[in-house]
Amino acid sequence: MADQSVHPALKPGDEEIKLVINGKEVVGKKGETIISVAAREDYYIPHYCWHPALSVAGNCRLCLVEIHLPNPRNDNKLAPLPKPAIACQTPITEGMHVFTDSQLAKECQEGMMEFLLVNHPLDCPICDRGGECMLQRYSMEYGTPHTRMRDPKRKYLKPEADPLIDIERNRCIMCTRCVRFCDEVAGEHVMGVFARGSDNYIGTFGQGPVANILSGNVIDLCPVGCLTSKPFRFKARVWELLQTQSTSIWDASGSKVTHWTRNGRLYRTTPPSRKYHGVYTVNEDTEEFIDNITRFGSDFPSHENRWDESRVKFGENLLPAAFTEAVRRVATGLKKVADEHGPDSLAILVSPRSSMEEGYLAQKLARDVIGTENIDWRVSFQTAEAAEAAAQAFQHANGDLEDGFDAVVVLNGDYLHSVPAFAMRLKEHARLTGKPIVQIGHHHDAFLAPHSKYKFHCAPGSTAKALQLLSKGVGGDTSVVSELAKIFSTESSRVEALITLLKGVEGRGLVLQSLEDLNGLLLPNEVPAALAFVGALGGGWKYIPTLRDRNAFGLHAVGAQPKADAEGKSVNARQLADAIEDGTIKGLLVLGADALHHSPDRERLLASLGKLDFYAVSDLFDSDYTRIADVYLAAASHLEKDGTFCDVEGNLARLASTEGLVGGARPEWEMLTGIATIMGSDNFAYETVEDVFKEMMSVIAPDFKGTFKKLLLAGPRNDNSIKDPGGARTHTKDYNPGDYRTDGAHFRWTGEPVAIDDQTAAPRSVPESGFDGFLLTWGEHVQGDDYHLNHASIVELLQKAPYVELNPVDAVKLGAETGDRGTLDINGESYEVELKVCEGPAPGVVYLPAGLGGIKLSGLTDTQAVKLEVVKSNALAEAGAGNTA
Amino acid sequence: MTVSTLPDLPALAEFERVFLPNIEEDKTETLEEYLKVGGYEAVKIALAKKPEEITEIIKDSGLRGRGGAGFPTGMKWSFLPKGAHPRYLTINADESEPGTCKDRPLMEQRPHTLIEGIICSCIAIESEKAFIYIRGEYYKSAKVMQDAVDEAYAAGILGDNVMGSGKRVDVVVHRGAGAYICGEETALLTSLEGYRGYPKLKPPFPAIKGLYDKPTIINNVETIVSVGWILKKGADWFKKFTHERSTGQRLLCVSGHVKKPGVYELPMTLTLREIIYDVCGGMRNDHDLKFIIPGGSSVPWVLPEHLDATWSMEGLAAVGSSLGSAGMMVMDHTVCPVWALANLSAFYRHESCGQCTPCREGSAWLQKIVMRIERGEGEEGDLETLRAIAGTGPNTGMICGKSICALGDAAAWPVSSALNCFWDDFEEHIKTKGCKYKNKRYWMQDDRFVNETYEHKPSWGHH
Ligand SMILES: Cc1cc2nc3c(=O)[nH]c(=O)nc-3n(C[C@H](O)[C@H](O)[C@H](O)COP(=O)(O)O)c2cc1C
Ligand code: SF4
Ligand code: SF4
Ligand code: SF4
Ligand code: FES
Repeated sequence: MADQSVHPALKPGDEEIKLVINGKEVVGKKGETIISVAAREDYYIPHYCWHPALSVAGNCRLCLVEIHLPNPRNDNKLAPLPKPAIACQTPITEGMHVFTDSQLAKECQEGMMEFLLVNHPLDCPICDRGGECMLQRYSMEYGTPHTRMRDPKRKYLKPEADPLIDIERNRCIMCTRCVRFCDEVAGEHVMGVFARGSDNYIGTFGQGPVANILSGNVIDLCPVGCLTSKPFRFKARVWELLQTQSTSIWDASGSKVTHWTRNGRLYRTTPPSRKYHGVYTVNEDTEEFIDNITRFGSDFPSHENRWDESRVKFGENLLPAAFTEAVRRVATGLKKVADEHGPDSLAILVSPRSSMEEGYLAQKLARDVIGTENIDWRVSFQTAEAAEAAAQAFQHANGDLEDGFDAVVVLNGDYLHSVPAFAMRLKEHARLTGKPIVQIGHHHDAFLAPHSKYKFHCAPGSTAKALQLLSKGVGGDTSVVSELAKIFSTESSRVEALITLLKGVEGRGLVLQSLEDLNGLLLPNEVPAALAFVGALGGGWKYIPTLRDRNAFGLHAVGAQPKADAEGKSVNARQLADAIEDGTIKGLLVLGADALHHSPDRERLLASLGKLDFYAVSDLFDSDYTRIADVYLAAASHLEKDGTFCDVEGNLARLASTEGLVGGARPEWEMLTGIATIMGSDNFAYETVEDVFKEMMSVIAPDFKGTFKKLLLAGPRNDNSIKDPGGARTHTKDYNPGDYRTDGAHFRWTGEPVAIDDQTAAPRSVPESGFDGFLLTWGEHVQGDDYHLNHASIVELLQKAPYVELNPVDAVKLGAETGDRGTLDINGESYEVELKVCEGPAPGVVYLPAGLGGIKLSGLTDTQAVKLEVVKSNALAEAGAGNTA
Repeated sequence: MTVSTLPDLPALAEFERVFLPNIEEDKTETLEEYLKVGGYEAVKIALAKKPEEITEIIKDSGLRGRGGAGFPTGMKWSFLPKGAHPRYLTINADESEPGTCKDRPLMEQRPHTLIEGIICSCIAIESEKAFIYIRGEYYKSAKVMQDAVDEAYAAGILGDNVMGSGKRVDVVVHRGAGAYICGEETALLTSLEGYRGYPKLKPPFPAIKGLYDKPTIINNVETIVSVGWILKKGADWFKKFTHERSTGQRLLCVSGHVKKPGVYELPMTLTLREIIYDVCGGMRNDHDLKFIIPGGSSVPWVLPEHLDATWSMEGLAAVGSSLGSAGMMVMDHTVCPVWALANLSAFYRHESCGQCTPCREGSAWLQKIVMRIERGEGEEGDLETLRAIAGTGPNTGMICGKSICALGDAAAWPVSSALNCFWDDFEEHIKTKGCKYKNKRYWMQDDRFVNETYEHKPSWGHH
């Protein structure tokens, strides 16, 4: 029961402080700053350097307010402080009187605005920030209409540092938001303040790029036109663009986005715009951060190779055809194969970027109409066993970050480059609360490492054993300690400390498992081990598996893969090439050619397609995968259709169409409805995608209370209160973070408890004979080779040079430093890679993010010994430390 | 740099100089020499006392910080949170305030008095580690200090068993990189930690959260040296010469147009007139006095009509100025006040760390305007703009009281006080588009800044 005496702004246990802001009595909790209490009470205090997600810098001085305090030496009579104080840093105290709009406060605001404009170029007409600029807005609201500046302004040279971020220093107000973001949130010290006094300027070290998967966020954080988006530069004015609240199709963290479009073209993608002062804008105090691929890569539908008309094969040629004709051809084609070879000669492959509705209809088509279990979306796994392990993992996914955690165990994985926003949120929680992160495995996340209290490296293949022993350890069995210490090559005391820590977690604990690492080769025993470990920890411990595939969870939820009991009997994605080659599969329907491209051995798969009796694909582009089809169905892109996605935390999000359909392209739910109906089903009578959603939810989540419409974020297009988007501005903070949570749309699974036997947990043997180098592990990378990304306008600008992560211990042996180059021999081929020395891989292990720089891993079936040679190293290595391991 | 001898003034008859009493004969650079003249006696006294007793003695002596702000030292020490360890002592030897040159002879000629003071202070505040942050340009000071510290370690005076007491005191000598702002106590700490020398927001004050987020006391070299002498000679000895709340002796650094500029050890009981005409032998060539900057370049200027003010914290406050760091600059009638101000403004523009808006933009804007007036390109309204930016006194105008640290105020005060003192001179510059003063040397840095819109290419970094 809620404590009646507690003010709504406080939680029970908070120390209450009463103060007065602009004459109004308000309440805050001890430790809060004036600016946050004032914001809650609808008093807007102008600020540049303060940002809710960053540390306090206190440098812009725009938030200066007048303060009067009771003087205990004078009968508690109010006495003004001799100086104004900054609201962003000053904590509230009992009886404090704050004036945010007194004469003094106004003088301060006017003064600071005049100062900031003294050297500002005021080139708004050619500035990309125009229209969403905090300097423009504050000038109107807090500045004076004149300037007294008569001298020449300061002028800087313009650096060419980053391919994606434009730096125009003359407009910088030195708020250091960008520097603090890189240092604190992105975790890389790449930006800094250079020179001194009024000569100082913002820049990157060594003129390098802001190379980081989260770097694009500095564009939104910059309150002025200093940091702007290069791809978006000079393309459009923000107020001319139509905003659509949607969700990322890249990041399985479930990032929400706003697409900014005009005339059917996507100009930019940002974190969701918020209603601020009556207009929807993105750069005020946006706290949601998105990864660069989501931000810059979403425009692929307008690639020149777009085929927005369906096509069917006439003789050798694939010729444009009406959508209905193409659908009819698919239906008859599939039916013919089924009639001739039986239903199990057909397979449906679904792109992991398909919506839940599409996945739902695809499996309904496969099961109810065709009568087969040959449906799958799990194209990225290295082996069929790994795909099955992943399905088991999903079945137990029950954790989220919503309320944070008290401790988190992170198993093998490069989470930052697999689920960037999720990794960032996790790290931020640990950084800001000091809650422990424990990393266990042969490959730790280098991004989380600086915030990880415990880091235990083990050999590849030993993670399952370690988890099994740890499960016993937390159950009170102390005999495991010495064995664990051996596996982790550490002292027993550290293992004991770990067990004590794990046992001591009273609230929420999380176990994180990336299904990406090694592309899942080790998953068949690591997944059950992790699940048993979660069970052994008991209590408030939850489990989150992660996978880069955006809608993995949604597609799993709707059953777009063979049922558990049918696994092995049906043909899953990993067996497809074999099954086509040996003639088991004769007809194939692919929803999204990226499903084929995503496969680890896509060359073989592509070659096998020719053997099919019937091959239909729905896609966006003229490509190797579509040109050879019997029927090409022109699909609506993620910008043109509606649908539902589910992220690694089980949250639903709405994909929303920006400006409707393009050319003859149609959403896949329409295709599937058409195909099923023509094939004779009368169970596909959907008028809209919302009908599909309703039916789907009634099947997979009967208790779901939300609606399709409610899943859509508040935005200018569905906000009826916005009559004139450029109109009246008020000082009301009308943004509420709650708007951005889709209430009730939260998936949880509860799998049966898992026990792991010794055989499953037994350490896997790793190659030893002839071992003269490193053990290679690999995982998917968000910037890696990707069918959609390859069609995005910025693909050339992305940092795609291949690199390997290397443990500092090995780096010392090799005499190598971060930035050195090396050659990596895989499968007899030699690749040049950059070396990144970090805490990620265990000693003796190198980690290779897959898909960068055309390195082929397709033949790999297990972790294997590779040779790494340093090519260009520092003098130390040349002086004889040797350059091989 | 030496400490100058004093004339025989009746007012100083009883006054005993201790900092550097007899610079000519008294070689006290090495430990051996220093021990001969009673070195490290204060440590023995301190070791025999409880920490609180030492702090009480310092409080009783009325010692106030010699770095500029004049904060009572004993009181500062007592702000340390009880029981919070480790805690650090940091010696501010960044002496960069124009006109100030007193810490340097102290360190270079009697380095062991500083170490002695450090040990006594460490015992008082229960710290085991002290850092001496020495101005980057003071190469010799750093060398001499480091040698002395090494000597002291070798002799068992520093280290884990201070003079056999079982107490531990370590001293680290650190050289700055040559930035005035690193003399500001919190910037000094960030610099010492290896970061950009940015002042921090206060509160929290360093005594609560300072170096490496641990409680830290920052004191000036002279302050800490005084601590040793107070312990040796007693609080009453220190209070013998006192004006209001200004007790004890200070090193006065006189520069400018006097006959005998130099560093003088004086009690704070003389008048400015006595200092200029008796101690320093009067104005050069017996010129007329035009104005005095009595406490380092940051403090408001003092006109000849205030020559009878006492040279003490209270005495100078009474005439609207401040004793600051006791660097006194004396200007005769040949000095153009606009030119003098342009010099100061150039200094503050150059030394602003650039962190906060009012100081970063304000210091540069002030300099641009003052330089323009000085060049004879002043316009009507310029003086009003200067007034609006710099204000009329503490916490007025657009900078004072609104910046992160006191450098902002320091940049504005000379401007407001120059306008207060010499408004007519400024007006004349603007009206006649020129300057009637001769003999100016243009050595100001960064003339390019005001001459044209320049492509910003600082020589010290890449672009
Ligand atoms: C811009 C600026 C520069 C300063 N430079 C020095 C300096 O060079 N040496 C110094 O002792 N104090 C300097 N101070 C004063 C210190 O901040 C601090 O008050 C002093 O070191 C405290 O020591 P004290 O209490 O012994 O005086 C400076 C202050 C400011 C605002
Ligand atoms: S940053 Fe803002 S004020 Fe400056 S030029 Fe751009 S739009 Fe105009
Ligand atoms: S570039 Fe933008 S965010 Fe960075 S300091 Fe300048 S104004 Fe602030
Ligand atoms: S007042 Fe000047 S020196 Fe001090 S923090 Fe601000 S910009 Fe830096
Ligand atoms: S917002 Fe408070 S100083 Fe910038």
